[in-house]
Amino acid sequence: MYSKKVMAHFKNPKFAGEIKDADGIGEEGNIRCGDEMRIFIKVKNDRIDKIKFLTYGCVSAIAATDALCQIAKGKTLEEAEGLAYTDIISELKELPPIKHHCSIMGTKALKRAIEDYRKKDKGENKMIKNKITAESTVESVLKIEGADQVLVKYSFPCLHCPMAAMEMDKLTIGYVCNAYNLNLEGLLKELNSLSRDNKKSSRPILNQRDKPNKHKSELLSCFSIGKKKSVKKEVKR
Amino acid sequence: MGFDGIYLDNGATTKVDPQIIEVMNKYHLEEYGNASSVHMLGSNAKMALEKARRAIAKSINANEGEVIFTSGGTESNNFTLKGVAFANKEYGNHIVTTRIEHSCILETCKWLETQGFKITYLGVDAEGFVDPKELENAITNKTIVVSIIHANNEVGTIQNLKELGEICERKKVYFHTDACQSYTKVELDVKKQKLTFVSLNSHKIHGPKGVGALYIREGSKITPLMHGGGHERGFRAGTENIPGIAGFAEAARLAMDKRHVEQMSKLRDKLIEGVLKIEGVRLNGPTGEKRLCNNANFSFKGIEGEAIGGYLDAKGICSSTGSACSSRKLEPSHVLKTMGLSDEEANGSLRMTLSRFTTEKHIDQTLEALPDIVKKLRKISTIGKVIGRVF
Repeated sequence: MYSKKVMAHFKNPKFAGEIKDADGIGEEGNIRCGDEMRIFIKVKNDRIDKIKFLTYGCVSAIAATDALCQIAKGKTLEEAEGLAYTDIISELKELPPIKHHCSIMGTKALKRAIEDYRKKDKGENKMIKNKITAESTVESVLKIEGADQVLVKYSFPCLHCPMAAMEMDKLTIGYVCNAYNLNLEGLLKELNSLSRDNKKSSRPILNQRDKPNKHKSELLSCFSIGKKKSVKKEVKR
Repeated sequence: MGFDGIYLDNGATTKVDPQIIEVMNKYHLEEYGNASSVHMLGSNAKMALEKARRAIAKSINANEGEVIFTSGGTESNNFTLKGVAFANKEYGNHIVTTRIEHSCILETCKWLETQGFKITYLGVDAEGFVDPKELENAITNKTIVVSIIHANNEVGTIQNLKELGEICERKKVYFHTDACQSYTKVELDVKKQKLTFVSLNSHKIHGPKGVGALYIREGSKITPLMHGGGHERGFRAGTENIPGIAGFAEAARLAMDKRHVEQMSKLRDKLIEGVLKIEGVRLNGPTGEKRLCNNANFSFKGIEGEAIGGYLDAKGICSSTGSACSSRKLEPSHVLKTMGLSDEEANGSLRMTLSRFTTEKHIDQTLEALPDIVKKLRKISTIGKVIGRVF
């Protein structure tokens, strides 16, 4: 039923496995029809530097995903995204028509992995370009490695407050600094130097969904109770 | 050069016994007459045909005139359901069958539904058994025939035909069984089991492909599918396949030896015991005497059956699977699903079916190969990793 090439990829899938620190992961398939695949990529200079896959599936699913990885390796992201299932089939020489979906699934999983990479990459780049400002939320800042220590250094409250924990995505750095009379300028400077150094370790974050000031009236923590001054006093005591 | 691997797909088809080829060759090369011809060569062919008919009839405790030859199980099943349905319209339009039949029964039923017939599909329990009470309740005064597979081709569940047949007799409806898998492996007695129709075939018992038989109880109303020269007492027109039929009868004769069943049961149990030692494996279907002597069917957690079969094949071991990947419809096995298995369990199924040519060495080699294959596939599967299970 299967070509020699299919059997060769199936018997000895060179790209089977996981990449633990993958830049992008994409998944496709469902268990009912018996195929599920996950593709891991590492990207270097906009090219696919490393690629691996896991497959729950049949002979052709394993072979097609392995062939796809072989084709995609070294390609630019754009080239890799443009790969069609027919490219896989021509690598495999032949795939029974009823199994074509296995190769289509592979290309979809790869596209998702690239999408996933771009999303992360965008987040990281954005952080560098749009550095942390008074409008950045506490939540987004806390995602940067070492940020918590800087905040502690500046006596930033809220870090251990259970009420504040519920609204880290609403509290902005500027708002808290203003309320507690903290050195906003110095804090931002230190946080920004931090974020540049630690860009790799961070998850996509920042800004897009943080709409400063909008939710202030809904805040649950000490900021929502009474006036700013009384809160300030309470905390200072 | 012949195949020198391990063949564990005897539920699909079997190797033809060389002894049978010899018998067939005689009717291909020497006694090649048409059984309808009046000359000597023709009457020799006719004699061979009737001798084969007597032998097959005797093997299921039928009368000689009650067996006709067909092209195989699919034809016998089609003929019974369509022939009975159209011949008995005045008595009713209802047929009872099960959800675990071979697709040639299910597809015929589906077609009959388009022709105005009503079908009731009985479910089965977790081991694949039909509930006799459910059958009794399903039969109405419109029911004309009940069709239940004797031994299931995927999981080897052997139905209690006697109990089911008695219900049909009491309710005065025809009772058909598809005995393609069970023939010569499990007792078939048309009188004791109250059968009206029985489908048999040759290529599952080391006979040639393209030959089968249908038992039609004397006096049953059935209309032919094939019209023509009045062969097979008018039930099935077409020049008889004498070499095939003679080969079929010889195959049945050789297969009747009880020792074969004992040997297959022993090796089957060894295989089952060995495979179940692998972690995350379940046996599908019953154990012991209620299971076909040559059938083993497993589900492996986290991996897909066709891929297991693929690696076994690479090691020269033939098996089959109920996974969606291997089906033309890309749906997991309807039998396993009816028995209550999840999609993942059905897709992870592997069937291994033995024959009298299977040796203990074959089983040992299979048991040696399988654990590594399972390990390798689990390592590259997405499944264990999604839910954090470690196998």
